Amino acid sequence: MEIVAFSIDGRLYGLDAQHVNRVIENVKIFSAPFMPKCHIGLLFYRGELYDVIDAGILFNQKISLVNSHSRIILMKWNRNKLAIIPDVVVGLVRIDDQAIHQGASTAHGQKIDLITPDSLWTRLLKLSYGPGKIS
Amino acid sequence: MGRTSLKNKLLLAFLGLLLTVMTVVGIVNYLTHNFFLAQALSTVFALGFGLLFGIIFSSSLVQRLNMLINSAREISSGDLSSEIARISNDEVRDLEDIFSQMVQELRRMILDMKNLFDQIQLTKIQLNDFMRRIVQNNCEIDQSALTIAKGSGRQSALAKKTAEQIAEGLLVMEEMAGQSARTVTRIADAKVKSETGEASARETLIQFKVSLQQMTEYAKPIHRLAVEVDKIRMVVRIIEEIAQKTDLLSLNASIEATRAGEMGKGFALVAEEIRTMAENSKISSKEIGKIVQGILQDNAEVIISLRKNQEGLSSGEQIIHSTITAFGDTLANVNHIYLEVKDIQDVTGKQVKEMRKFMSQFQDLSRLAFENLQAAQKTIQATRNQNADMKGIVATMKALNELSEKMMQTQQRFKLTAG
Repeated sequence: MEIVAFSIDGRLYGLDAQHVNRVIENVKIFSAPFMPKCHIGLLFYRGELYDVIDAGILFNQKISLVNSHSRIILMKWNRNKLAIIPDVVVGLVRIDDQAIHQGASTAHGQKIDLITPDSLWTRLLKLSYGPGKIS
Repeated sequence: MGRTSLKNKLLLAFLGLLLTVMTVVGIVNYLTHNFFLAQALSTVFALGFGLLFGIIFSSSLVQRLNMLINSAREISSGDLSSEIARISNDEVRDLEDIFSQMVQELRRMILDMKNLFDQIQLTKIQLNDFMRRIVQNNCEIDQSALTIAKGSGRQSALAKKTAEQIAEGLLVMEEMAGQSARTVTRIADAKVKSETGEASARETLIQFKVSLQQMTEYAKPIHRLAVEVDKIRMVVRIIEEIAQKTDLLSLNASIEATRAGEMGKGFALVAEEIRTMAENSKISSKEIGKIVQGILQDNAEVIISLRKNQEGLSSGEQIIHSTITAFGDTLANVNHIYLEVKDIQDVTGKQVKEMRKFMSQFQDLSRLAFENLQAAQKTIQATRNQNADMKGIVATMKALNELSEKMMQTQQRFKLTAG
């Protein structure tokens, strides 16, 4: 299994590479009104619209490290699309499928917390902007 | 009345007598025609007339001589009042005149003596008064001379002391004159050195300007280097961007390859190689960036140093300008001081000359004071001698007084007027 590893507030997280569409940078993000603080805006990439989330703010990081050079991970799963901006995109990490239950780690032995797009979505829905439902 | 001398009288008498005799001889001879008788008669007549004439003549002469004798006797007794009668006009008259004149002269002389005595008495009184005043004045002169002598002594001592002080002052002034001359020489040296310093400062300024120009020239390649290095940095940035893009591309390629499954494994290897290459490029470009940054930093430091050097040179130029101005001011002041000290030297020289003249005059004054002292001492001695002489004069006056009294007594013996 291969995951796209990224770091937030010094911790490593991993997403299944199957759910990652692209990693991009230097794109225009359009802010949207009445959105949570972690919702930076919307971006349009190759005919598709993505909600852009500041992963640091989402993961309770106090200070946003997002800038114009930050890399954006575009995720597509099922029929959902979401873009997150971590502090740093580490890269593609290969892990054994059998060792997943023991927890993923980098070649240097650094622990990686595996997250799924749904868990991100759920975390978004838990925000104080009312219950939502993924249709 | 014409003057007739005794000789003429006698001759006339003789001629008259002879005429009478001849007349008598003639008449007798005529009447008697007797020559001898005539001769005898004439002789008798002649003898008679001669005797008569002789008696008359001699008695007249003796009478007049007696009158003169009486007058002389009266005069000898001091009576000068008698007058001598003048009868004839012969030699006796001359004698009478001379006698009368003598008497008159004697009277005048006696009168003169009297007047002289009176004058002597008056003069004696005046002389006594003079003597008294002279003695008084002599005492005063003596006192004044004593005072003058004391004053002259003090004056002489003071003059001597003052002359010594003036001599010391003269020495000091000569020393001042020498000091002024030395100061003038030193100021002249300072003037020459200031001029040399100003010239050196001007040369230094020219060298500074040349150095500044050379530094500006030297700075140009460094500025060009900075521009070139900046270009390199831009290229490195582009390389970094390319590396990042490549890295992103390789990441996306790997993700695509992963999604492709077994079919994408080969592509994944290529993507991995590209990612590794991009990573190496990134590292290399980072290294180059660091090197370029170091070069730029060094270059910036060099430029800053050059600017500082230029600023320092500019400041130095300003300082040298100020130094030249200061040298100019100093030179002007030194010139001013030189002229003033030169004036002081001239004035001091004149003062020394004047002091020497003053010293000479003061020595004359000191000598005069000493001479005054000597003169005052001589005056004291002279007044004392004069006092002694005055005593002699008083004694002489007393003797003269006695003589005048005797003369008065003698004069009183004479009777000048009748009655």
